[in-house]
Amino acid sequence: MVDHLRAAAAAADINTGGHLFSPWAALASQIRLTADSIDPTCPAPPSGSTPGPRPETAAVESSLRCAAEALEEAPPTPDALHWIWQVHQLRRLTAQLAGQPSAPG
Amino acid sequence: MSTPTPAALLAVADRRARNLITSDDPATLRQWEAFDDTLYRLLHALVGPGRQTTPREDSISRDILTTFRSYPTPIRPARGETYSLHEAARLQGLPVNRVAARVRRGQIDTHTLRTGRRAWIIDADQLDTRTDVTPANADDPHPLARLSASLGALADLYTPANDDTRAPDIRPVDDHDTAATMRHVLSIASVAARHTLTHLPIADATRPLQIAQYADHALDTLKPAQSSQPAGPIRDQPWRKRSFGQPPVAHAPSPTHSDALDDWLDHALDDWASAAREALRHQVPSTGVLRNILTTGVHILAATDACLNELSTRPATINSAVEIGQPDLEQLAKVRLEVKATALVLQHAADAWQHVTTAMTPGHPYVAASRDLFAALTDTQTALAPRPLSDLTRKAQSIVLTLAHAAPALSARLTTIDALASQLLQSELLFIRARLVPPREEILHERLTGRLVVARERDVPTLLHATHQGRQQTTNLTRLLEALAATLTTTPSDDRQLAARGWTL
Repeated sequence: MVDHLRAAAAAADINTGGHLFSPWAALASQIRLTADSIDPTCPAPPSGSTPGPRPETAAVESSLRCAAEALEEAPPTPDALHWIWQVHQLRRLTAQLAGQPSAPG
Repeated sequence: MSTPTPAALLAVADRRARNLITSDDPATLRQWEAFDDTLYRLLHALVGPGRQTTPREDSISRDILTTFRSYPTPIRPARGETYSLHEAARLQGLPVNRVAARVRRGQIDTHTLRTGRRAWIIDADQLDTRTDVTPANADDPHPLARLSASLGALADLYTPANDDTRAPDIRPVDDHDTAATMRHVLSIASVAARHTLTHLPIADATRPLQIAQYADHALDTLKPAQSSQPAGPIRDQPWRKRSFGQPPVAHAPSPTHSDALDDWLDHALDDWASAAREALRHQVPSTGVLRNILTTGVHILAATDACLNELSTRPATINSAVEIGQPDLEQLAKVRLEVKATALVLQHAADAWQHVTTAMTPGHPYVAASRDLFAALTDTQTALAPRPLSDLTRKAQSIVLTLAHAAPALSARLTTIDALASQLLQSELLFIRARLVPPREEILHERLTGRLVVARERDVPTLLHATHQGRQQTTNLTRLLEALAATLTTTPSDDRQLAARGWTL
């Protein structure tokens, strides 16, 4: 679940096109904040036989959708509900950004 | 048919809350008020009518009661409850003497304690001014109504019918279980309130915002023991007057209405700065929060740059120059360069923190405030996107003043983070994946198993310097922005005012 969020953040970073002031950079930061809410222990990048989502191929929305689907399987707890809400908001913000013209750098 | 258990009803409510999250069905004020009232009734039933604290009770017991008592003035009082004069005043958000005056005028019936002490005891029905608010209609298919119905069923389960003392008390026995149930209920409330906020007219949105903020704070307070908790329960936390002494002002921004957007942005900046200050006061703050503060600083500067770009490329006409101060292009260019340089430094500082962690999760109030500010800043950037035949000068000037006003708060947060960086390192409260540091014998096992180890300064060689640079650069930029703001608010000279009206001396 957290791997999907971190992949979404990495994809958002790629969408900035290197522009520091791109709204995608700020969105990546929000995605990471949600990921830290679930697991703050900074998992190391995957290596070896179990490749995680590859940021260079996963669009932000698809990674967030995978995260949302994974969270749907989570048992009913206060924290799970909050994470579901946060990911839903992130998907909505991503859709809004995707519909805007590319932001200048 | 067997009676459902509290756990089963709570699971149903959780499922309905998840459905609410993905629902686009607009909520009405009536549906919200029914939910709001049911929520309070449930919390009252859960905590227990007439519950008081004793000095010997542990902190979780105090937290439960304080959380309940911090509920924003309920729409309707708890049914069957009795209140002293002071409790009634607090319940209604009125001065005690005003409630006492109503009692003397016979507008509120009272009775005395059985012990004969002269003390006014007021029944809940005497204080109920909103009998029009009724439980959600069981046939209402709206997700919020269905959620209200399930919480109402849970409240009924916890409330013995007709004061039947023989009925078993099925409320949680242990206060830790009570706190856990309250947390779950308040998590549901937070989601419901924020969903409602997106649908109600702005005039009706204040109450859901109050409940959302209350729930976020309460979720953190009732969280199972975590060393990052700030000292003291909710009563020790600075509930800002804007939230409770004065109701928060909800905003529905419109990019076409400068004042609304500017107002929203100002509010979001203020809320975020306060939430960041509180998050940094935790015993062990979350590194996720520290990083997000730095990157939010970049976002703030991005919006500032958008304003400066507009002011630089659309020189004001004579008429508008009469009404607003006009900084020269050289000053604007200098400030813009510093804005970009500072943003770069802040991003480097954020990157320096990316591999370390205190293993503490960000608190709900900060996450909510950060999300709100992100939306406000993004809308600001959108509103300032260049459009043909559109003069955004006035809007840009208004917004840059708002952002300049927030610069000292950002600088203050960075000063705190700068101090925290060395404190956390020296206290061995920063951890890093063993695989990310140069190999050494004592962490060989951790490298093989992928575990975290205490971060040493040599493991994060850029952390302290990058953070310190971020602080210095932001402090310098704050001075420049304040000077720019002073220029923008300077009244033009008399000569310019006369010239605008076609007069010469």
